[in-house]
Amino acid sequence: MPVPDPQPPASPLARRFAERAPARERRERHLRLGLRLAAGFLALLALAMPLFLLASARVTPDWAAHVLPLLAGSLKAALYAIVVAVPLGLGAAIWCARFAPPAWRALLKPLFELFEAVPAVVLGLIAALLLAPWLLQHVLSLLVFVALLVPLLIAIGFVWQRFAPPAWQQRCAGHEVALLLLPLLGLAAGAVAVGNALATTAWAALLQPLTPWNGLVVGVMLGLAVMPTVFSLAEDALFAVPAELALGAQALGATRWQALWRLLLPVAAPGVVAALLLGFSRALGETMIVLMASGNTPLTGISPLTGLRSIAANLALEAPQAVPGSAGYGLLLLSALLLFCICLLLNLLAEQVRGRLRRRVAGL
Amino acid sequence: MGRTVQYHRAALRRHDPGLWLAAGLVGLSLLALAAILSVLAQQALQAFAPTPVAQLRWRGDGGEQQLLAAVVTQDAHALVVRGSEWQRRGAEYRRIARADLRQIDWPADARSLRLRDGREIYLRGDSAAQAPDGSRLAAAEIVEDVASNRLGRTEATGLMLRRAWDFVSGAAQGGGVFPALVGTVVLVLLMSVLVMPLGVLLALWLHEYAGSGRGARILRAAMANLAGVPAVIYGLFGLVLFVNDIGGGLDALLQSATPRWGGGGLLWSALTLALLTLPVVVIATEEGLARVPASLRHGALALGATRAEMLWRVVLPVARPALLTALILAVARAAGEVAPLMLVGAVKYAPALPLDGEFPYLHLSRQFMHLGQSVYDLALAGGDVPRDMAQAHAAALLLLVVVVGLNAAAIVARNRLRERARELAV
Repeated sequence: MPVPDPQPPASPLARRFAERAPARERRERHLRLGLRLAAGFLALLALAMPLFLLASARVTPDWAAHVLPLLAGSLKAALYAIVVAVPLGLGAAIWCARFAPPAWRALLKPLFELFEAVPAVVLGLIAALLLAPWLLQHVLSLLVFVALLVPLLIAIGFVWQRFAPPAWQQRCAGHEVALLLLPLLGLAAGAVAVGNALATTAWAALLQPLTPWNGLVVGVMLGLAVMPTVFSLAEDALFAVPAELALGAQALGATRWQALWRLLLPVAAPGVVAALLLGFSRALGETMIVLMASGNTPLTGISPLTGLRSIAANLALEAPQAVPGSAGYGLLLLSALLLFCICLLLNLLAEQVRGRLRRRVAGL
Repeated sequence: MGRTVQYHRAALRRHDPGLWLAAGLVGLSLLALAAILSVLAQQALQAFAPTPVAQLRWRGDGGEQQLLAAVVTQDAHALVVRGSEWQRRGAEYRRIARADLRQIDWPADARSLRLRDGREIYLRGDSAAQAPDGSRLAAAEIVEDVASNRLGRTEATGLMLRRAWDFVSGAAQGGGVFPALVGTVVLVLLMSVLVMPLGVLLALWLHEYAGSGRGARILRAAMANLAGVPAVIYGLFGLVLFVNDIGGGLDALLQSATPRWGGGGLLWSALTLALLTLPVVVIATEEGLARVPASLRHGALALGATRAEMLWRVVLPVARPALLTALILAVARAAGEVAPLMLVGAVKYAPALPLDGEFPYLHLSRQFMHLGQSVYDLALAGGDVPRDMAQAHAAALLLLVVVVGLNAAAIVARNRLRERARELAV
């Protein structure tokens, strides 16, 4: 912006202003130049990263045998993680955005944000040293728990709403989470007991993991790690839908759940899909949890009870020792390029889908 | 019959069981979080808890044996004990099946001595420590002498606190996390110095100058995508660009015989992390700039300020909490990240700290230890498994406290900023 040029210099103040004008103009120019340089640097960097990987990547004749099992491992780990993260994250987002009283929401949002910040190596440590030995004995318990979880919750909801005194219902509305903590703990204890009772049957032998570090452990812990990402994106999307929509549906006789399921969720669908895509992308790139809990054996079978080796974990294991210029180095960079491209694609797709949500909500 | 079914269906439709399903999933997530934290805390405490000492008699390979040993773990089938470590730390673990166990006493006069190098010796009564080969321990060797079985609750707590402090502050025998803590702090400080100016400049350009032109659009998209690139790819990028190309080139230029810059080091790690956290800083700063009310800018411009002066004197001071939030978020992200550092310079054991009293004080090309890397190494590559596992959990807890504390600070600062922006806008 040009500095206004005062003329003629009449007062001492105006003279001083005129004297300082060139310096001020220079400063303005320098700042603009500095900002431009910084922007250029970032643009260069964004371009340089794939180019560097591309320049050093090398395709040897047997590249498929090296890279494809790793890619399968990455996809497998991310898939298991999403299977865990989406129900948890989406369910939590639905409750938080639509049913929770403001106090609960103000507590849960930062709490899950903090959960997202927990270093992956800490989760990996717990997965590798505590969860893995436990799951080695208790796969059946986990299965029982998951199978009974949904029926139990729905049954509790139904019984409560049918038979609990209205005064209680009034008082506890919005605090369902606190009411459900004890039943959940009870279910967990019951599932462990059932699992132990069935430990000697053929089922248990069938479900016995071959190694302590396997896809199941990775799925559970990686799913928990990705859950906050899915949660916050889906929650934002659901919260952005105007409340009038739901109120209108309820005025027409829909229950709160029906209003959500039939109306709000379809409207917010792009945001939810974006949450899923970004969660998947994050799970693909996550290194430490997979590195510590997957056993790092490049197996391609779909069973979650065997080990796997992902691209990211393979990079962390092999890159420090790789000799620059060797064939192994080229293959490593090739696999990294592949991972980079997949994540980029997922991010771009998610951005597109979110743009659609924004337009849709703006139209309402 | 048909009517009751219909009635039940109608009731199901009238009620909201789905709501309870969603609430239950929130509860499950909270329980999982609580379980992770409590298990971690419990395991970490085990690293410092005094182990009881038992007098054992059992049937071994060569007839009946007896031993004074610390009981590390015990379950229904067997117990794992640690005898006096006269030779080497971690060499005296023994697994004794319950079936073979004849007798187990917990003598009240048992003492456990901890030596300077982390070994532990167990004795009874007031007898001086004497090795099987007849040599005696020098008094200077012994750093801790505890009557393990007679500790009261307060004494045990005091002991645990003292050991925990030694573990963090560097006085711990046989490994503490002090070098890793120093490495992490120095790395993160260096990274902040590198990333903050660039990130703030970028955010200023994006928000104040670029408008919605094509350049800004491309840059915004680039930023969003950079934020989504896996951390390990940044590490690989740092390895290829900084370590191998620039570092290798520097070595060739300086004609140094041993690779000095061409290996992983502090500077390269800080640069890699700076790249990694750049999108975080830019996005948080831009959000803060957007919250500065337009009336302040208009007022400054109307009084004759140039744009640069308006930004420097008015906008940035008002947005200062946002800059702080950006810094804290970047630091928290960088402190918890391990995967890229494994590629560009964090090592299991570094002989020297990156910061010391020798010129030039800050050694940019040195390899360093990192808290997250220590967690990984202690967990998976230990020689003295029970102790290393417990120490891994303690290091993980420390890392968690640091990172979560920083993030909580950022969240509080952000909320303050929002309130202040609301006040200013009125």
